[in-house]
Formats: sequence, structure tokens, C-alpha cells
Amino acid sequence: MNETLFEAMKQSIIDGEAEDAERLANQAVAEGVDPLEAINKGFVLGLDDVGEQFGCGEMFLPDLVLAAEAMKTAVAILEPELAKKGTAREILGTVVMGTVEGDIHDIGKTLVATMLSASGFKVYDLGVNVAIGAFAEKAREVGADIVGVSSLLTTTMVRQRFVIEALDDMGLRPQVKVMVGGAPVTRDWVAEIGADGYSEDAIGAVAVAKRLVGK
Amino acid sequence: MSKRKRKSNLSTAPAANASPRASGYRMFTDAQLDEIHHASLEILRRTGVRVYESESLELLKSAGCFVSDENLVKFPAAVIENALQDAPSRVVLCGRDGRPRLYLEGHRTYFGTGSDLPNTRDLETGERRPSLLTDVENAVKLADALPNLDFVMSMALPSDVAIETSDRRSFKAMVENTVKPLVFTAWDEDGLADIIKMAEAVVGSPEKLALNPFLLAYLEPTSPLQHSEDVLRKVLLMADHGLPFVYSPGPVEGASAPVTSAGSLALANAEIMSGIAIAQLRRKGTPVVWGCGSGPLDMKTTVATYTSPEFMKHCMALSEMAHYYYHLPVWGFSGCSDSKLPDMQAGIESALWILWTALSGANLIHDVGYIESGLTCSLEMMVVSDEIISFVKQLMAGIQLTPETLALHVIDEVGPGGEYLTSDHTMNHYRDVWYPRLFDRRSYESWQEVGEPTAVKTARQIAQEIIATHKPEPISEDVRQALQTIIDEAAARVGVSN
Ligand code: B1M
Repeated sequence: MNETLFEAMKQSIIDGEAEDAERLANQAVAEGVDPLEAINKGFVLGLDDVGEQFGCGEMFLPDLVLAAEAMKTAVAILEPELAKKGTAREILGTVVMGTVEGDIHDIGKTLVATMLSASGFKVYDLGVNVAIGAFAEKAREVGADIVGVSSLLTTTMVRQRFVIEALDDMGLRPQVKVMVGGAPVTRDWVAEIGADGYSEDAIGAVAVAKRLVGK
Repeated sequence: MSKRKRKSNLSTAPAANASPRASGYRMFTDAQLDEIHHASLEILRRTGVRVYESESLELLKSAGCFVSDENLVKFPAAVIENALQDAPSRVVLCGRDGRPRLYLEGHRTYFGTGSDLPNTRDLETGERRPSLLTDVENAVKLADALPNLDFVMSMALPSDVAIETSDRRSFKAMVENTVKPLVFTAWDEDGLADIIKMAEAVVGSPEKLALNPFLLAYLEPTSPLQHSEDVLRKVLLMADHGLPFVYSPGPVEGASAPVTSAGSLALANAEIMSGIAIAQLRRKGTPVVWGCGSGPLDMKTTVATYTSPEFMKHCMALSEMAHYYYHLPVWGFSGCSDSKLPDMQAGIESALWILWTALSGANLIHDVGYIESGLTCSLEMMVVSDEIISFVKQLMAGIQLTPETLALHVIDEVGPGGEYLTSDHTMNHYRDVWYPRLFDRRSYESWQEVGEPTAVKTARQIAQEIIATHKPEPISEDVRQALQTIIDEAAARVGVSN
């Protein structure tokens, strides 16, 4: 019987219909459906589907953003229910993100942050022109699993290394993984500075982040 | 035959010196230009812009702007309109030899390359690899030799020198390899100050540089509606030296600007005019160029596109604003592509751009030779685009109407059923016809005989030959030394060695 409900939940995310997602989440609560199941067997599958369709060029970025919004609405209703039951939705990991000092390119970074949070990561977006030390400080404060450093300029890309060093200095490595990205970043550079992962685009970044937290 | 005069060589750019006219193509009516201007003023009044630089904030405050939340500036329309009155209607760019070369005014169009490409497609191997300082030298030398490129940018962003001072090194490589005017970028205020010093060393004094500038800085605010501290420090420095710059935001539509062209245009226009107002408040009469590079974010790939009908229309609209509303020189884009290769897509995109931007009458048209959406330099595409520009210049020249070109006397002389091949008139004028240097017009057999050339192969050969043999007008040893000293001092200051 829940199968039809789960199917409708999945569809509401694919369609990016926040109102439907909200109604279905409320229905689940009213009918006593396990909230964790509603998320994992319903809504999340919609998000996976959208990600796949985007990956093969069937869907556009705004479709992805709408799906993410609908997902947020549903989760906002189900999370208090989870808390009541003494459980919580398992977040995939905590990420601290920013564009490094001297660099104000923010479109790509914001996109990656949006995708990560839609996929179940808790994301702290520090914005652009972020001081080297601020990444490590925030990571310690929130107990981050991943620090993400975006750089669109070759001049600022060199500072990705300093972020890693700052994490080292605070004794946060290797438990805090470092992911880097942006147009000038190459595989060789990632190896040279000893970062843990990089990606050329936002969808790839989600896959890398999942790998880094072992999911 | 002997009495017939021969002209010395085939002219591939007959229109270069012709007095330029508006193409007659207009996208907006005057009333619509008004509407955009008013929309931009409304953005500046209602929403305001963030100004992250204290001296600029002071200037704006004393001019009558409203500042709240530390740096959110809202503009009365008069502040903008008065400041724009102070900007000169023309900018003249010279060569480093002091000779005036570009008159950025009216519908005079000039083409040039772009800057800061992290990758270069290697001419020998065809491989895409990180750019090197020699790529800057080669691209600049090539641009110096190509007859239809009028100004020069760095093209490559060198990865084999210390990045902190790479802007100065690239500038030196540019000065050494061309006499054509330079458009340049600097990493920050210090880099800009060094480059100005280098330019003064080239021409002899700050006064000479301001009077006969051979350089123009490419400065960019941050959409939506932000002037970073970095960019404003550069604006103030250029204004203090009385040197020209283009203020060109890069709104990515659907991400940092509305996805609709009209909204993005109003936004960009507000960014440009608020920045230019700051420059005029700092120093009345600062020479400026209106500009914007605004294309949609490709929502399938998340790439910021460099060729699209929307990007091109936006450029046309901006040219019309600058020409007919503000009467200021305008920046343009052309000869660039999203293709990863110098291939058919690159050729088509380059050609569409060049024709379209020429129609817009933009004055300073850059990015010729860009591929991969502004990430890779293609020397082949510089050569191909040079050919397209020469073709388009011939188009834009229109048809000359004189008794001699109407040729009624010749038509009468030859009469019905006659032939024109042996007429003096043909002999005197056949060289007015445009001839390609790259595009192939051979018959099939002769094309086979010469090894079945393609435009890209020929372009590569031309580029290789020019790079191997072209000798740009040299700079004196004293000047070279002076430039090197400024670079060495900068390197010592920031603690880098190469
Ligand atoms: C942590 O994990 C991860 C994982 C993946 C990550 C990641 C992090 N971060 C990004 N990714 C990846 O996923 C994202 C989504 O798919 C992708 O993000 P992207 O950001 O690549 O993609 C976005 C969705 C769309 N792309 C973009 O938004 C960037 C587009 C281009 C055209 C660009 C823009 C728009 C701008 N720019 Co600038 N700009 C260029 C860019 C050319 C290009 N083709 O990249 C580039 C990056 N810019 C460049 C330059 C030189 C500059 N820019 C400057 C300024 C600007 C604007 C302000 C005009 C504007 C930024 C506006 C804004 N609000 O962000 C200046 C510097 C300002 C500064 N201090 O930061 C200035 C120095 C130019 C000047 N005249 O001074 C070049 C950099 C060369 C280099 N390697 O150093 C450049 C390649 C263009 C060029 N060839 O000149 C991936 O990279």
C-alpha cells in the first residue's frame, strides 16, 4: 500500500513540485508511515532519478534546483517526526565550502554547494574571498568531514595548498578530507598538493564527496 | 598591356581606412534605449550596488548617494547622469611608437585577441596543454603580423613562471612582440601599478603615456551589483593616471543575472554606469569604454557559454546603448567559440560573431582566437578569424557608387554580347575584389595536387611560418632592461624567483 505513496513521493521530486511533496509528507505523517522510509524509499529516489537525467542531458539545471527545493520541503516536515522517534535522518556528511581568498568567482562554488546539500550533505557555504584560516576554523567548529575549496584563477588555485596546510597545522588531517575544483584545477595539481578529490562539475562533485565519506 | 597600371599587391582589407558608417541595423528604437537606461537607474535607486572600497564610498557619499549597511550604495539619477557627462566621447589608442592607431569613436571597429587562457592548443602536436610564457610571445607575435587584428591581448596565461608576477611578465612579452596597442589584465593594484610603470618606461614619461596611451586595462565588476575592492582600487589607479580602461561585467544569465536578456542588460548597464561614475568622480574626464560580456549559463552542462544568440544580441544592445545613448566607446566580443577544437563549429561561431559585431559597430572587439568557452587558445583560430574579419570588412565597405564604378562608358563600349576580360576597366579594378589567403578556391584536381589543404591545416602553416620568421619592431635594450628591473623588483617583493 505504501508503494503507491512512495512512488508519488518520488514523482513529486522529479516534477519539482514542492506543494505535492509537502502534501505527501504530511500524508505520511498522518498515516503513521515511517518517516525514514518515506525519505529513503520515496523522495530520495526522485532526487537520484533527476541527477541521472541531468547527467545524460535529459534535464536542465533549473529542474535539478526545483527538485532540490521540493526535497527540502519534504525533509522539513519529516525531520521533526524523526526527532520525535529519537532517530535522525542520517546525513551523508558535513561539508565546509568556499571560494578561496583573492577570488570572487562564485557561480560554480554555489552550484556545487547546492547539489551537495540536495544530495544529503550538510553544507556550510562560507562564500567567496574566504581567508585561508577560515576554512580550517569552520571545519573544526562544525566537525566537518570535507572541506571544499573552489578557485577559478591560477593565482588563487595555489592557495588551495595553504588550506590543506592550515588543516594540517590544526591537526585536522587526515580525518577531514579536502575536495578542490574550478576551471584551472587539474588531476596533476590535485596530486601535487595531496588533496583527496576533485571534480570538473557539480554532479561529479557529489559522487566524489560520497566516495570521500565512504558512501 | 604595357600602359595598364598594376597595383603592387592584392589588397585584402580595402575597407580598413574607409570612413565607417552605421550599418543601418538597429535592434532597439530610441524609446527602448530610454527604457533600458531608466530601468538601470531604477536598479541603482531601489536596489543599489555594493561598493567594497572605502575611498570610492567616500566619493559617492559626497556626490549625494545614500549609503546604508556599510557599503550598500543607492544612487539619485542625477549623480549618474552628471558623472556620465564627464566621460570623453572618444579614446585614441597609439602604438608604443606613439603613432595613433585606434580611434575608438563612432562606428569605427577594431578587432583584437583575448587574455588569460590557462590552456593552449600546441601548434606542433595539436595537443591541449597548460599555457607557457612562449605561448604569450607567439600569440602576440602572430597578432602583430596578422593584418586584420588591430590590438593585442596576452591570449595565454603562462604556467611556467611564478603566478604572482605573471601579469608583469606577460606584459613585457606583449611589449616586446608587437607595436599594436595593448589591452591587458593585472592581478591586483600592485600588478597594475607595476604595469603602468613599465608602460611609462616604454614611452618615456607619465605625461606622454596619458597623452598617447598604448594600453587599456580590462576591468570587471562582479554581477550581480557588486564592485569588489580589487577592481575599484584598479579603477582609482587608472583614473589617477588619466589612463583608459574598459569596465565590463560578466553576468552569467540564469546564475548571476536574470535569465532574460532585457533584465540582464538593465543589470549590466547599471553595473557599468555606477563604476564609470566612480571613475569620473575621482577624476573628471577619465577615458572609459562601455562593455559587457553576458551569455546564458548552459543549463545542461553548467558551462558559461561564449557563443549564443543571446550573448550576441546582448552585445548588439549594449553597443546601441553606448553609441546612441551615452556616446561613449564600446567594447565587443568576437571570433570566439565553445568548441574544443579549431573545427567547423569554431569556424561557424567565429564567423557569426565577427559579422554580427561588425554590424553593431562596437569599437574594441576582443577574444579573437578563444576556444573552449574562454579556457583554451587556438593560434589556428586567430588566423582563420583574421581571414573572416578581412571578408567582413569588405562586406561592411558596401558598394562604391561613382561614374567610374558604375562604368556606363565601359558597358557601352563592350556592348551586347561583348567581353570584359580584356577591357582596361577590368585591368584597373580587378584588384578591388576581395581574395582569400586561407580559404581554398582551387579546382578539385589542383586542390588534390597541392595535398588537399583544409582551412585549419593552412592556418596552422601560416601561424608556424609567421612565428618562425616575423620580426616585430624591437624595443631598445635600455627599455628592455628597465622592464626587467621592474619585474625583478616585484618578484623580490613577493618573494618569487622566476
Ligand atoms: C570543492 O569542490 C569543487 C568541485 C567542483 C567545482 C568547484 C569546487 N568549483 C567549481 N567546480 C566545478 O563545478 C562547477 C559547476 O559545474 C564548475 O564551476 P565553474 O565556475 O567553472 O562554472 C560555472 C557554473 C560557470 N562559469 C563561471 O561562472 C565562470 C565563467 C567565466 C567567464 C568568468 C566569469 C563569469 C567572471 N570572471 Co573571470 N571568468 C572566467 C570564466 C571562463 C570560464 N569558461 O570558466 C575565468 C575563470 N576568469 C578569468 C580571469 C582572468 C578573471 N576573471 C575575473 C572576473 C570575472 C567576473 C567578475 C567578470 C565573472 C565572475 C562573476 C561571479 N559572480 O562569479 C577577474 C578576477 C576577479 C577575481 N579577483 O576573482 C579576472 C582576473 C579578469 C580581470 N579582467 O581582471 C580567467 C581565469 C584564468 C586563470 N586560470 O586564472 C577565466 C578562465 C576567463 C579567461 N580566460 O580570461 C566547475 O569548475
